[in-house]
Amino acid sequence: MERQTVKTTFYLSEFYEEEKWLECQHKSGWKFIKTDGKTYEFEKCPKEDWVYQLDFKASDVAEKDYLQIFEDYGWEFVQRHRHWFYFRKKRTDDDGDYSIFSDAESKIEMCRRVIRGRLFRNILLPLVLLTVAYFGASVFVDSRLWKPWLRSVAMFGLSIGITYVMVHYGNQYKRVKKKIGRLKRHLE
Amino acid sequence: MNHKLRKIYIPMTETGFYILFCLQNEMHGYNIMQRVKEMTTGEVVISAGTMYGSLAKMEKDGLIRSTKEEGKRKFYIITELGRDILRTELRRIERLYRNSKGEKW
Repeated sequence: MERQTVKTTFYLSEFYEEEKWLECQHKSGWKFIKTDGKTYEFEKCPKEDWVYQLDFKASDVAEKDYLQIFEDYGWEFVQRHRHWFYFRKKRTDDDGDYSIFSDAESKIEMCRRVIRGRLFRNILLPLVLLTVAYFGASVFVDSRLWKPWLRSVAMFGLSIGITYVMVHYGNQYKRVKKKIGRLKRHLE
Repeated sequence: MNHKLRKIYIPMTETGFYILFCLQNEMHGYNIMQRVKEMTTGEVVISAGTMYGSLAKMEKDGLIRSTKEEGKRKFYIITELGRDILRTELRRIERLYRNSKGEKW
């Protein structure tokens, strides 16, 4: 089977975009096989209309009854990457059920799982580590061991790191929050 | 009845109501969906993720309990607490309905 890998990244708030992208790939004859978050592996297949859906689970375990329910509904479980579960279903002519969440409440609940499950860890942990490193470097490192410019470069690097984490994940957090707001007003 | 739970569950969502209502009989997730589809002539469809999430939450809150596993399928049935909540909700809906018809409650 012919295969191809594509390097791309979807940020934490972009799960709907990722679903759409996978659907486009399938439509153009590339069936999703697996991802590690940075590269996506595809296999050549007939050009067909399949729906892709992502679920974020609080635990990164696929309980057998969890997968069974999806299978009963006709969803094919493709793979799990960390807390993300990838499902797909072929779109047919009948007016079928092509979403894994049928009401706003459960969609909002998934957004909340994303925030609780990853964003806090992604923001808080790097921030704490970088801040500790920053103050550690400024207070405890004996300045005689450091060339003055080297020390400045290190401090500058760390502040850039802190700013990046705050801006990037702060932004992702805001976007998921915005999704929740839209879902509450039944816009999505 | 636990007042915190009453606050969370009442008024119930359509999904929550139908799941709890169906679980007066022992069923598994996909069964419930089929039953609800029948009862509402296809108008209310509870999707897989929504079904799984609702069942898990209701089990955690003690409204339903799991009875057995057949293969990988988990069966559930309503508990006493679940019945209390369902009764309260049914009373609320009945009042709503009667008032809408201009009947005395």
